[in-house]
Amino acid sequence: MRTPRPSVVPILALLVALVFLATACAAKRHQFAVASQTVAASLFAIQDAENAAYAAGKLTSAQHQRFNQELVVALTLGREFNTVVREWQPGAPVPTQLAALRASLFKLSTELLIGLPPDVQIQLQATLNAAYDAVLAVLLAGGK
Amino acid sequence: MPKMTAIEALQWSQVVFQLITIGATTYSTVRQSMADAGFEVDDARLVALEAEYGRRLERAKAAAEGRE
Repeated sequence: MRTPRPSVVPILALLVALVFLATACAAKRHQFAVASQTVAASLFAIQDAENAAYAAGKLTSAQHQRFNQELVVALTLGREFNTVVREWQPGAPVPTQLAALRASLFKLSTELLIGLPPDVQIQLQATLNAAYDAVLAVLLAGGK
Repeated sequence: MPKMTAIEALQWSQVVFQLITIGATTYSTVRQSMADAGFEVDDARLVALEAEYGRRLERAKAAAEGRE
């Protein structure tokens, strides 16, 4: 009785599939990482702009306090998203923090900007839009 | 147990050699694709962001509580 003729084709096909999978996973994580960096840069810019406006006497203490209460929520979500991206494993769903972060950014850009001086509003709105766009782009892509 | 001829043994040794070559190539390709995707660079940046978030949150909390 003869031993069956060995074939490397199935193993080769499996390895090629693994290469494609690994490449796709690395690219997806990179997409999340870029989004996390954009969100962080925008949130930090919002904080700096708001602090500068407050230091220049353009905001009242109450406005400053109220804005920072929501900013704490946004920064906390941003940090959680960043942590999730660091630990993200292939096959895991899109981090859920993104949806909550989008809601928080929306609240900052609508409710909390009302009543602020126009120049401060314009400056903060621009940075909020950048963060909002980054979050929305990943959500719409669905991590594909 | 079936007997293995010299030719069959040679064929199997070729398969083993090919598998080792394919494995090494696959490993190298995956490593390269991860490097191309900025995997390690991303890691370093995300770690730095974590620390920055901590500092920023402390400042925002102080302002939110009227301590600033």
